[in-house]
Amino acid sequence: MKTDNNKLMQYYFRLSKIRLTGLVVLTAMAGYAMAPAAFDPIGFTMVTLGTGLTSASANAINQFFEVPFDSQMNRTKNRVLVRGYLSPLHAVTFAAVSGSVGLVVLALGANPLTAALGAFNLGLYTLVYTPMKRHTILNTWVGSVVGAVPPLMGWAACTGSLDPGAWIMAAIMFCWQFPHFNALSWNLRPDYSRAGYRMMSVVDPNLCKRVALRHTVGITGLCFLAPVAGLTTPLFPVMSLPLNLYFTYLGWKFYQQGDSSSSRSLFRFSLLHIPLLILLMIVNKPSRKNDSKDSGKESVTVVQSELT
Amino acid sequence: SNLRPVVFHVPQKETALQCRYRLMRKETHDWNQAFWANHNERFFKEKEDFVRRKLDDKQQTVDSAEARLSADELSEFYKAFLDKNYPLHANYNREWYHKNLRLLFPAFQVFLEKIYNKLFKR
Repeated sequence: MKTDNNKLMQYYFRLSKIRLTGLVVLTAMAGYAMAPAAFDPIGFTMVTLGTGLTSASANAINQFFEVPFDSQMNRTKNRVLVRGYLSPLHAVTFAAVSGSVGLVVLALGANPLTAALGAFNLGLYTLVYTPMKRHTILNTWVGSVVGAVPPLMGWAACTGSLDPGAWIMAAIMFCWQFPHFNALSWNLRPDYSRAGYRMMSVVDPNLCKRVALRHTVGITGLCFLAPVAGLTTPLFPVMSLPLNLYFTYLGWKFYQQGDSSSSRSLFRFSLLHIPLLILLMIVNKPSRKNDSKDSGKESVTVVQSELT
Repeated sequence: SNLRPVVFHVPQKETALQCRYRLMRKETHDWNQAFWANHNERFFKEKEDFVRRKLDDKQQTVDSAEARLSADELSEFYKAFLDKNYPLHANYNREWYHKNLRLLFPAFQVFLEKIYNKLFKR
C-alpha cells in the first residue's frame, strides 16, 4: 500500500502517540520548573524537544512490536501500522531518527545525565515493558517507572543532578500510574484476555483494585514529604489535600464497587488530578534567595562538594 | 481474525528482491491470520460454553430476560482463558518478534534497490 505523503505528519503524530508524548513532555517541563536552579530558556527548550523526540521514538517502536495485538483490541485497532498507513520499515526508521536526534539534543542541549536518563527510559519502555506485558503483571510496575523518569529528566536538565525533591516528584508520578492504569484496564478485560496481555485487571482483579487504592493514599502521603525534601513549601500538602483526598475517595469507591462506572470515574479524574497537582507544586515552589543564574549554580556545587 | 486483509500488490516489473520480500510478507501475514482466526474462534466458543454452564448453575436459560453474567463472573473466564493460553502466547510472541524483525532486512534491501534503480536506470 502506498504511503499517503500528504498525511505524513498526521501519521507521525499518531505513531508517536502524540497525546501521551505531550503529557510526558509536560511532566518533564514540570521537573524543570520545580528544580532549584535558574530558568534557562535554551536548556528548557532542549529538554522539552529532546524528551518529546525520545518519547515519540519509544512509542513508534512499541507500535512496531505490537501490530497483531493492537489489531485485536478495540482501543488500538486503528493504529497506523495496523491499518497499513505506514510500512514497518518506515516506522522503525522514524523511531531510529527521532530517538537518536532526541538523545543528542538532550546530551548537548541539556547535559549527559539527562540524555542517559532518556536512553534508559527508551530502553526500559521498548525492550522491557513492551515484551513484559505478555508475560507477567509486573509489567505495570516497570511501566510506572517509565512514567516517573521524565520529571527526573527535566530536573536533571536544570540543575545537572538529582536532588531529593526530584525523587519525591518521581515517586508521586510512579504512584499515580497505578490508579490511572488499573482503572483504565478494568473495562478492557475481555480484550486483554483475548489478545494475551497479562494485566492485573484480568489476572488478579482484587490486587488490581487494592494497588490502585494503595497508591492514591501513597500520593497523599508523598505530598506531605514534599516540603521535607525541599520540593515545595509546607503550604503545598495543605493545598493539595482536598485534591488528593478526593482522588483517594474515588480509589476507595473503585476498590469497593469494582465496576465500570467507578473505574471510569477514577480514570477520568486521574487525568485531571496530575496537571492540577503539578500546578499546585509550581505555585508552592520555595523561593530561594540566590535564585539567579550564577549564584544558583554556585550554591548547588557548594552543596555537592560538601556531600562528596 | 481481526487482521486487516491485505492484498499484496504485484507491480508489473517486479524484481527478484521485491518478489522475495512480498512472499515473505505474505507468509507472515498468512501465519498471523491462521493463528488469530483460530485463537479468536476458540475464545468466543469457550466463552459461550462458560456462559451456558454458569447460567445452568443459576438455573436460567440463555434466552431468558435476566440471562446475563456480571462482569465479575465473566472475569473468571477471562482469567482462566488467559492463563490457559499463556504457553501458546509465549511461543507466538517469540515467533512473531522473530518474523517481524527478519522482515526489516529485505524491506531495507527493496528500498535501496528502488533508489538505485531510480538513480541509475533510466
